[in-house]
Amino acid sequence: MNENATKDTGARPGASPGKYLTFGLGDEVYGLEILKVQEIIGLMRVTRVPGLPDVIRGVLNLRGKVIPVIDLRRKFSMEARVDTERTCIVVVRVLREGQGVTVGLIVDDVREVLAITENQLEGVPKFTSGAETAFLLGMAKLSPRVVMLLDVDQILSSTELWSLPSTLGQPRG
Amino acid sequence: MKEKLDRLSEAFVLAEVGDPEGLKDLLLRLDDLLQDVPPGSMRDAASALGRLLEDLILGKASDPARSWQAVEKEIAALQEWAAAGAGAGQAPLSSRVQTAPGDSERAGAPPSASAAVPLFPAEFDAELLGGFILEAREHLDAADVQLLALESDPANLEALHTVFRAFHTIKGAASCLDLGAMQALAHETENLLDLARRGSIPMADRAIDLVFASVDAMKCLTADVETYMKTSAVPPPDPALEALIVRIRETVASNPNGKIAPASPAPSLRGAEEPPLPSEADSASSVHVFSKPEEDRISVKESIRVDANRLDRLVDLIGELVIAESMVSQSGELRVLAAGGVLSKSVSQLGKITRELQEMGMSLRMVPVRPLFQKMARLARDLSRKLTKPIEFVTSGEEIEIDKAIVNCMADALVHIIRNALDHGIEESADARLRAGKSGSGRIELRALHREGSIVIEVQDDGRGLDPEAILKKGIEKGIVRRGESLSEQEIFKLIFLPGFSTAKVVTELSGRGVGLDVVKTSVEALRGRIEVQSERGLGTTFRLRLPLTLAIIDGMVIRAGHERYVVPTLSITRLVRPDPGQRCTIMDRDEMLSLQDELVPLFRLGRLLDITEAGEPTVAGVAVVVEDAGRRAAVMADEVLGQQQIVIKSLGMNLEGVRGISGGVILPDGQVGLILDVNGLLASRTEPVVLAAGSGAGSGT
Repeated sequence: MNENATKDTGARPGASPGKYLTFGLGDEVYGLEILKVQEIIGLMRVTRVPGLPDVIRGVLNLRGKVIPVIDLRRKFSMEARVDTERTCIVVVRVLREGQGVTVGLIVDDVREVLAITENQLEGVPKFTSGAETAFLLGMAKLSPRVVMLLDVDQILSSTELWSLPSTLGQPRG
Repeated sequence: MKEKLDRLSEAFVLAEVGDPEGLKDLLLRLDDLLQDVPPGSMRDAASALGRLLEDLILGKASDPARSWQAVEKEIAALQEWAAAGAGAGQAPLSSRVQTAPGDSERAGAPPSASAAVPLFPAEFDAELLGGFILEAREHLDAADVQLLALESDPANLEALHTVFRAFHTIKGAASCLDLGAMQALAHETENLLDLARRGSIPMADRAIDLVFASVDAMKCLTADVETYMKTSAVPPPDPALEALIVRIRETVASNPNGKIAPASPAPSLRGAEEPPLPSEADSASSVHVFSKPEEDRISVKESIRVDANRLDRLVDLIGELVIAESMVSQSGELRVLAAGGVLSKSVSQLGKITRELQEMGMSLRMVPVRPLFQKMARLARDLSRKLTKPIEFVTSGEEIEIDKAIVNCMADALVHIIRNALDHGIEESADARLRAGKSGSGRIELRALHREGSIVIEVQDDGRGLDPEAILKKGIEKGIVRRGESLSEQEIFKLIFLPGFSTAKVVTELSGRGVGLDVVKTSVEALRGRIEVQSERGLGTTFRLRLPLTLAIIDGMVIRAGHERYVVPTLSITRLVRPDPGQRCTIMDRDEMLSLQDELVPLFRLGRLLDITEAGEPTVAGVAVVVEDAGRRAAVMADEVLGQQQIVIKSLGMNLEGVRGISGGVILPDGQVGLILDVNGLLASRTEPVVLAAGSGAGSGT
């Protein structure tokens, strides 16, 4: 993601200091680089597209542009939860093959924007339980809690939004 | 000419190296002078001088000071030559220019030695070259149009000037960019046109054919340059090009006025010369009549190029504005607030603006069919010459606008049809036509018109017409039609669109090529259009292409299955039925069939097919939508049919390769996203056994 990231924070070059948007999934708090966040919208009705993996909840109309929406709980193999009033969609915009792509991420609730400094950053610990640490850039210790900083590009590229396995793949017009 | 030469030397005195303005002025004067210098070595010398100046302006000269000296010498030589009598035709200094110190590598061969001139510069500025290509194309297209106008009216000086200017501009730009071949050809053509401009030769017959050929050759060269720019691949030199240059030169030389520069200024000559006689126009075999020729000259509209993505985004946003506006104006809260007040006026004003904006948005992608029609006029002209069938080619409705994407795809289909009309439709000889009580020259009309929300493009010829009996006979021979089957005339005509049905020999008893009308039909249908043919024996044939205004919008039937709404393109729906339980039958408890009056079609349940768990199983209440594509039929069970509407097609923002049965998304009037059913894909899944097995077992799961 950011190649100039500080190397002393852990195994992978990852999180860099800066502003992060934090949101919650259950009791856990996650952070997204603010520069990748385009906007936050309330949960609106999402049209399910049959035949796509469960991780992709469907598509929605963002002011005339149809964008795919990823259910982050599903993505992280967390227990599904009924949507609440606080459930919302964080719209992120990333570059992919030179083109900007826009994707929505469904999260339980949005918290705040945090400025994270160099000395708050930590590397990603290695777990054996199979938690999806590949999606993490790093951790930020903010007493009394820890914020997990997400690697949006990694999340999107592993979601097969653009390169579905072509077992059924008969391209058609 | 003396006067111009004087002005040239004046400009030379004023100009100096490193002063682009002064140099440019000098170049302009030289250009001006060049008009009067007859072709020959002196003219080549003057052209070489022009190149020297261009190098100086562009800062390409290796040694500006020495180049400047060369310029000075050359101008002196020109003055000497002029003083000695322009007719002498000597070029005292042209050889010296070639070897001018420091410039030998740049001056290269004189433009007259076209074969030896390198076609492409060794190095180039891609941006400049790209701009040149665009500009050259525009000029050549304009030249094409004006040549056609000129052909039907040789006295049209305005058209002649436009053609001349086109070649002149291209020549100038080509020489700046070191495009030797283009420069040489443009140069020769310009000489020819110049003679015509002076009235020395009539712009008809051979001369105009040469200019047409030159336009074509220039187009080829432009394409070569583009290829070169992109791939650095140098196409082999075309011997035809050289031949063309030689032919043009011969034509110019054969004219007595071509060798000696007219001493008097051109305008008086032009006035003195008799306008070309109308009989010369008649000798041209094809006449193109624009519906409004005057309009062509006036309608020089300014346009800018815009990134297509931005345009799409703008149209998207306008669509959203329309939705938001209707939500506001129709909300109950507003009605309470706005009872009779200013607010209600403002809202209605907002509504009007929104509507206008929406229309504007839709029109952004639209272009007039005029350029397409002009290309066809040119094609018809060339064909009529080749086949020696004189025709009158009439176009109308050129101002009608259609989606740019459609125009691009339409060209091939129209070429097919027009070629067909000329080759097989129009009678072989004028005699045959006269015997049939028609005028000697054939008439082909190309029309565009609006009809019922779509665009209709018609190609009508007044030739022989189709012969239903011959077509039917051929159909029986080919095994397409059963013997004894009775077909209406319209049904018989439809046969010619079938693949493998060679119309040529049957319909016209001509040994022409079998033109693939099936290809035409396929390409028209790919644009969601339809093609039909009407014909009357002996009176002519009309091909009618009905096309949507735009590719971005489809007519769709909105249906509901479970909680989701889907859109079925109306074009692929054949009927809606509310099936009785008795009409359905299942195969192995999985796949269902629906029996319609005359046939058994596979029945899809959207709920099961698309793996929508929440969808109920509408057994009685549902509606079966019978769809058809490429002759295959199927029925899709929907819970409810919600209505029909025009729908803007949207990409879903992700790859749908693995998704069966969905081809895209739409934004429904309430702002929700609906999905477009991919009828073709659905049908294919049932006709291919492998996919059927996979599909019926696992739903649509990936």
